[in-house]
Amino acid sequence: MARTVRIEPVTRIEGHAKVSIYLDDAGEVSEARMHVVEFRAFEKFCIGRPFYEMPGITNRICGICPTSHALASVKAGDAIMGVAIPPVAEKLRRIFNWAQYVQSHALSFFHLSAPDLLLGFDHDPATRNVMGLIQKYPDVARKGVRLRGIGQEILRILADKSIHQAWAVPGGVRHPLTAEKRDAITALLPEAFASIGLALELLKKCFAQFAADVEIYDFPSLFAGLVTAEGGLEQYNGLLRFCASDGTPVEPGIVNERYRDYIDEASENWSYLKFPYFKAHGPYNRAEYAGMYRVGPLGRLNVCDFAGTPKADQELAEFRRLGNGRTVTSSFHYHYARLIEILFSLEKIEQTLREEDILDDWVRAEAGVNRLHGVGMVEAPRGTLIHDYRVDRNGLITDVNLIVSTGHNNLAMNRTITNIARKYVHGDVLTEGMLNRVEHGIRVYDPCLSCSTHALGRMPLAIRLISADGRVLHELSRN
Amino acid sequence: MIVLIGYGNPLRRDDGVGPVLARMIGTRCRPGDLRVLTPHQLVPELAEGLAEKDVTAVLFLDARVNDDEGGAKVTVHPVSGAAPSPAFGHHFSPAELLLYAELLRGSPLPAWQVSVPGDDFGFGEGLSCRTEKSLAAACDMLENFLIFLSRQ
Repeated sequence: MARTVRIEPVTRIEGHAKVSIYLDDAGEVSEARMHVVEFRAFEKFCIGRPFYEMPGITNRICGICPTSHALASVKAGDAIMGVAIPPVAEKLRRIFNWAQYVQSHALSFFHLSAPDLLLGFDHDPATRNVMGLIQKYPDVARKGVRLRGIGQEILRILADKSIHQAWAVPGGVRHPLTAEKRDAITALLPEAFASIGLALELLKKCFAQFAADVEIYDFPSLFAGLVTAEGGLEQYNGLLRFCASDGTPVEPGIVNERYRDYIDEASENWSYLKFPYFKAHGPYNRAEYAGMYRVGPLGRLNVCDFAGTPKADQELAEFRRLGNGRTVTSSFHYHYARLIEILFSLEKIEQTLREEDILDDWVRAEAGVNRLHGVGMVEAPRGTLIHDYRVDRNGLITDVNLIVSTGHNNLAMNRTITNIARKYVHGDVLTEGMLNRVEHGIRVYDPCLSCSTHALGRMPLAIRLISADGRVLHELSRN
Repeated sequence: MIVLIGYGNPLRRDDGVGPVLARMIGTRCRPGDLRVLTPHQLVPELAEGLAEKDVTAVLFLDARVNDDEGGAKVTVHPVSGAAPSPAFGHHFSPAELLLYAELLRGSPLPAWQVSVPGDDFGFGEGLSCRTEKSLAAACDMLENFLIFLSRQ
């Protein structure tokens, strides 16, 4: 008899989701699905608002990555105004984005994933959390909370608030950097470098322990992310590159405004999260993962030719040895890629703060509406973020399309949990370790369902094993 | 040093009463006696500040849905540190944040949850009339409570 296992909700991700695992008549997993069950409709209620209000509206989509939404939004605004912003404004926006990477990736690694990695998937669930981590690795936990705090502090120094800032605006930023603020940020960096060094060391020691898991997370797909004109790692303003599993560029550099020629979005009736796919590999076929691509830290490190900073390039070379020398195809290594990006961000902040013109006070271009269409594309910590606005001649929004990082990874997340479920779910027996492994398969992508739909609050965790006729055969719950 | 954390979302009407009340208290007290924080949520990095040795107590100020059972009064309850289940996201409850801080500092930290009743948690800025009117009394009560704590 065919049955369904449901994991509801998935925990330690931002937002709510549930997982259904479909068993075939032989009790083996046929498929796993992640359902995103919330709905927000930002794309609808922004219609009619002035385009210059959009950064303030859309950064409320999320309390974790508001900076990314603000930057994608102001870049769409720049395009509507038809301006190239002052060079220092771009540098300051970049520092803003790198600081966001530090805080967001630190939260993902130290608070959400380190309990799995350092304590183990089968550790007692009562202490497999950041509190258990403090008890076993107090120094790691302390450095983790500090590193996250340093990222937040840099954001606050730049923009006066650590979240939901109104600093970045279409045309540039509201106020320049002062020498005092530059020095305050610079003073934070040595501690941050030390913390990321420790995290890298600890993570690499774990690889042998998780060798079997690394294999389960390994599957072919396209990868996507921004790159510089030279092919370097890029997180703010570059060309969108798609490459194959072996690293061969499929589309070496797409101009942002043309993303719709390459990406299409499909829907399923069981999830509010859309399923973007690479059009040239379509049509959409979820069963065969047609057009599936991965974004975020793993995607970015796989599509770039080099990082562009000394320490990150050194780590990137080591990272690539985990794969075929060019690409790493196991999603388990999102964690490693995330830490390399923290290192890269810290190096770039340090370099940029040293530039002579960084204190220049020319940080904003003024203009009205000069274009009726604007696309803002940035790399959010979780992956490529696209804000696409159309306006009338008064600058009022007439159409909005947002493609968020988590959406790009939707097919890959479903593929990952299917692989995990096939390995660990057999028959009617549900275990805590299995449940956590399935959850980790989603968590490794650090999805932000707040961004993709809507989320706040927390719920208990329950897994249900349901027969084809709807009877609950077995149920596990936390809390 | 007592830390006062007034948290909530000021774009959801009365949910923002915690930050409003915390700022009011902050203007009445000497800066050296009280540290006022007004985040939207209780996020992990707050634990670091609470773990500092000069922190003697923490008060969490939040809104609660007014069910009239408490007579629409501000209530104060002690908080004990509690470990989260594996089910947690990017923010903490007061009990979880407190335990996090206690583990980092290596000692217990006296803590209280101050709950202010609210009527309107819909979209929008500004407090509802009844919550606005209750602020002065809440402020007086909290000020007295802080004086009591400072004498302990």
